[in-house]
Amino acid sequence: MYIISNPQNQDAYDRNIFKKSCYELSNEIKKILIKKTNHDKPFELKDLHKIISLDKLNSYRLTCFEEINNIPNLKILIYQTVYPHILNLLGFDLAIQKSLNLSIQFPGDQSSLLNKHQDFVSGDSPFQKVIWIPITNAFSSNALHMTNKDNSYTPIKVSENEFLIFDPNTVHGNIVNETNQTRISLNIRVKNWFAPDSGEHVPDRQYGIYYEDFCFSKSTLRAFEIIENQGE
Amino acid sequence: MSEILNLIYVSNIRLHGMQIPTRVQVKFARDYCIKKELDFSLPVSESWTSNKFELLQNIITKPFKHLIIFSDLLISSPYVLMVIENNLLNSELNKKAKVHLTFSNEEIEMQELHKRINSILRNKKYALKYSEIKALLKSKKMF
Repeated sequence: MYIISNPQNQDAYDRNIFKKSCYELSNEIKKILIKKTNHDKPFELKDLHKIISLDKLNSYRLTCFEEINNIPNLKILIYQTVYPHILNLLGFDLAIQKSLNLSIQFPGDQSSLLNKHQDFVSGDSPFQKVIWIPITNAFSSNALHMTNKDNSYTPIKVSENEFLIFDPNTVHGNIVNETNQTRISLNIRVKNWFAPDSGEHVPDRQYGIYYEDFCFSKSTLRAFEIIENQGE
Repeated sequence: MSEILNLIYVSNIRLHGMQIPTRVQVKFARDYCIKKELDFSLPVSESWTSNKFELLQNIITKPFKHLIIFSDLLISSPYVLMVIENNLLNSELNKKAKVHLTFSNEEIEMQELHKRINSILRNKKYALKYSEIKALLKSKKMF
């Protein structure tokens, strides 16, 4: 394992912070976020709230979301960012959520709150993990919050050079950002390709509409080939 | 044979646990066409008694420019895969046609549609199901 920042609990199994293996994805995202402001003077993304007003935030976010999800080879860029850590946690054959989500938390914004929750309750596979990639530093009240073993609910500090892989079966969410910095992050769900999704019960969380292929080992591809050649 | 420009296809067939009301599929198609500045034409509807996608199998072999459907998942059947392989990939017909997926707001090539249906069928065949895991846990055969 290449853990460079200790999780909140030393023996936590549900959250791991790693150094980004590649910055191409983050750089591409930053370019889009800056371009879509139409602001002609240089600024830092942590000050985005000084450039975009709160009432324009959602339309700005949706415009960026669409452009981000149209980046050619987006999934390859994600893979390069999180390699090899995601393989260590979930195996070599992976399915990934089709769309990359974009989260923007302005200081004082009460409209973007995601209360404490667990993803499986709304139909996500309990076998998945969330890759959480900050574009700005996440700290204090602008960070993702998770419950600890003692039931306390604390922020997960992740610098913009790092990313987090966490288990969304643990209660998590965010609180009002009381810092003076905007937090921008990406999140996407990944599970072992052979592990069940919840499609039998929640059809819109199934492979094909929610997940797609992410990566396979050569060994698995060879096994598929052998089975297919055997016929039914 | 005259070319159909925009072919809007809706299906009542329950597949992979999904059955989207036709009106919802049509609404998505109409909104998509407005957004993408495509002409909205009267949708063609698969028979609810069909399980082999006979209508789609038939119309997909006629020339068109844009096929507009709700989701690739809703047509991910071996029958559809076969007709794409037999009639499209091996001929020039509709090779340049675009497939529009209104739910995911995507425009893809026929080759990509073929690839996706293949991937979906492979996943449905080989990946574990939730009920299988629950049965295994119940039988304690896993341990």
